Amino acid sequence: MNQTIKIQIKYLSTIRDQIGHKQEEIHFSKGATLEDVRVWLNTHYSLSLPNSQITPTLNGKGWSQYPLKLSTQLKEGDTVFLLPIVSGG
Amino acid sequence: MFAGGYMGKILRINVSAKKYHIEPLKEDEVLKLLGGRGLAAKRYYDEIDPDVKPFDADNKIFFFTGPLTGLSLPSTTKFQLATKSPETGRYLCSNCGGNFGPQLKMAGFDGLIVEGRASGWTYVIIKNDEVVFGDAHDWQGRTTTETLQLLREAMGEKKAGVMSIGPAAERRVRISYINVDSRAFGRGGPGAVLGSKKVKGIAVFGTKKIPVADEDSIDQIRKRALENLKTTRANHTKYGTAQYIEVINELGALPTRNFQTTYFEDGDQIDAQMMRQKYYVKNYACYRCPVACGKVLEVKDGPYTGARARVEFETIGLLGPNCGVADFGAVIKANQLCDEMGLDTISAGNAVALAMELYERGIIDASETENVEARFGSGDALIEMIRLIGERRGIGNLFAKGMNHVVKKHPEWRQYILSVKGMPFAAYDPRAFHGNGLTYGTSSRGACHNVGGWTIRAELQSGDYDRYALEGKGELVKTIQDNRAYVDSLGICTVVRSALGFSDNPKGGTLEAATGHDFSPHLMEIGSRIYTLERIILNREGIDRKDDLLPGRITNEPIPSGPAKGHVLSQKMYDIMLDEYYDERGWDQNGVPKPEIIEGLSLKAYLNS
Ligand code: SF4
Repeated sequence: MNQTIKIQIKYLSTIRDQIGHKQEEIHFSKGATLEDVRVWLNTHYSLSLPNSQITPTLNGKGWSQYPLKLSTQLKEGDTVFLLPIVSGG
Repeated sequence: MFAGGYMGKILRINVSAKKYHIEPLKEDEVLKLLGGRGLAAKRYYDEIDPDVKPFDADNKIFFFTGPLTGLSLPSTTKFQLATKSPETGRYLCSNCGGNFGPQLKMAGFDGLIVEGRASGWTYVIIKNDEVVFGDAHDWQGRTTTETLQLLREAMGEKKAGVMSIGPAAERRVRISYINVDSRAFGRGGPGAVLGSKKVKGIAVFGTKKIPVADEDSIDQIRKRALENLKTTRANHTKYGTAQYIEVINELGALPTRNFQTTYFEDGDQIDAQMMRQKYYVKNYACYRCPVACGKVLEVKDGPYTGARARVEFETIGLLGPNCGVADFGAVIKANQLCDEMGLDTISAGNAVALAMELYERGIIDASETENVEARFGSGDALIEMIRLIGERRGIGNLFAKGMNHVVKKHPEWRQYILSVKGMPFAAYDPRAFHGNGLTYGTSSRGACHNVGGWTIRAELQSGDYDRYALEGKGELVKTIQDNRAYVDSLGICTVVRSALGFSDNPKGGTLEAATGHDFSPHLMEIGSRIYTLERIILNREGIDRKDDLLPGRITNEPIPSGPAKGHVLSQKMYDIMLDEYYDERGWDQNGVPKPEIIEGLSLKAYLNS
């Protein structure tokens, strides 16, 4: 049986302008990784990551902060943010 | 001297005697401390005795530009001040944009020192080498903005650089700011120092050319930087710093109801999108800045119709969510009132939030608030409480004296007060970004995210640690602080620093083209020297480890809700970061620089002087 998991993607602040909406729920096959999210974003929005203007996070931590980086496996209920973090406020 | 970048002179004004004289800039000081923040700190070290009180005539204000201030590069707008802070009672450094710094340079000066106390309200006009003292008796009670206009008229130069104080500073409210061409020396109460000297404002205008070592290279660097900023800073141009409200809220770090929690449920009412949709009027730029991150907002309907202000991230965070207020119109009105009276919006937002928590807990009541129902979420209460502080009425008179005084009078309120060294928190909660806690604890002026070091990006992007890690934060914070200390000494805005090559590993030749001197390889060391000099000053004023600690709400109370729920930064956790930080800096475990680091940074002479 092909099991799927649901994750939330939120496009915050200025990224929202680029994408056109604030958030969506995406279904991936069980075992999907951050790399699959990266490819999905590229396919659907021509958004290429890594990108110096965008910080992607998974459950509040940067993608690059997970030991397995893009190979990090996703699980049901995970939340991905795309943030326009460049510098200070 | 240098082939460019510096004017070689400092103007010293004594407002008691209504006299002035011109001093030379010392080359050896420039080589070690660069300009701006470094030179202001050195003068403060030399001239302000630890026993001097902020409102004594012996306190002085040291304004210093940097070698890039006023040059034909983007955002060469910044200058710096040092004085004894009425809010913290200690050394204060502060950074500001506008026209004043560039005009001071064009008048022929790298620095301006204001000392003494006038016998009556005075304004000062500087036109090239000439200084005129005017009678400002009739300007008493004027708002900061009205006073800026009066100064421009008195000088007869629309392009003059102007700085003013408002009625709050006249009353010595210790959280008063100095309005500089509608930008601010915001934190620490420097407006009240100017007020204690009875100086209502200063205007400056100059016609001299600022020398540059290599005009062609500066031209090339300018073109490259302008191209770079078009893409890298497009978000700043569109949304300004307000773009971070949603981000910081969604990450669970936005102070809400006096830092009782860190997620504001009505965040979409006060974010950058709402700002653009309903309130945006136009952008505002500092001198030569193509980014124009300032946003002029106006309320177009509802109870606050007509209110107008330039709103920033910190202001929204602390006057909005931290007071539980979701009405953007009320935030704009409160910001406008702070500007008119001349109050720092960060400290004002913290004070009102504290009052609201005390009121809701029944610790203070309506008899102390002049019948204002000081409840979280009330825009009217926010505005009226700010008025009480600015006019020193009711409980507002207590908050007007700053948090150190509040704690002294009411030690039992300590658990509700979010400040370090007497300076209230900026709009990030350290329980959600632990490096930010170290920033607040070790900043040279109190709980500040700028001087202390803005860690948010690194804490989300670094592969070596995440936002809740402790190890590595000491090194991170030191690096960011040193970088900021030298950038604050250059005379440019931090927003354009990368476009001009000023990172942790400075390159691009900007400073060499400006001054003719090979500064770049030494810039991080200069930053470290400045930071350590500031620490020596603070130690001399009684500051050590006990003053670098965070308040109980952060160390004892886990965040109760939102994306960072459950996180806390306990004393034990904080001590791990603080120990590493002291180690990185070469300070002992009490936060005092060790003799070998003082020697290594060539600061020994300062200690002995
Ligand atoms: S980026 Fe903003 S703060 Fe910096 S110089 Fe430009 S307008 Fe001023």
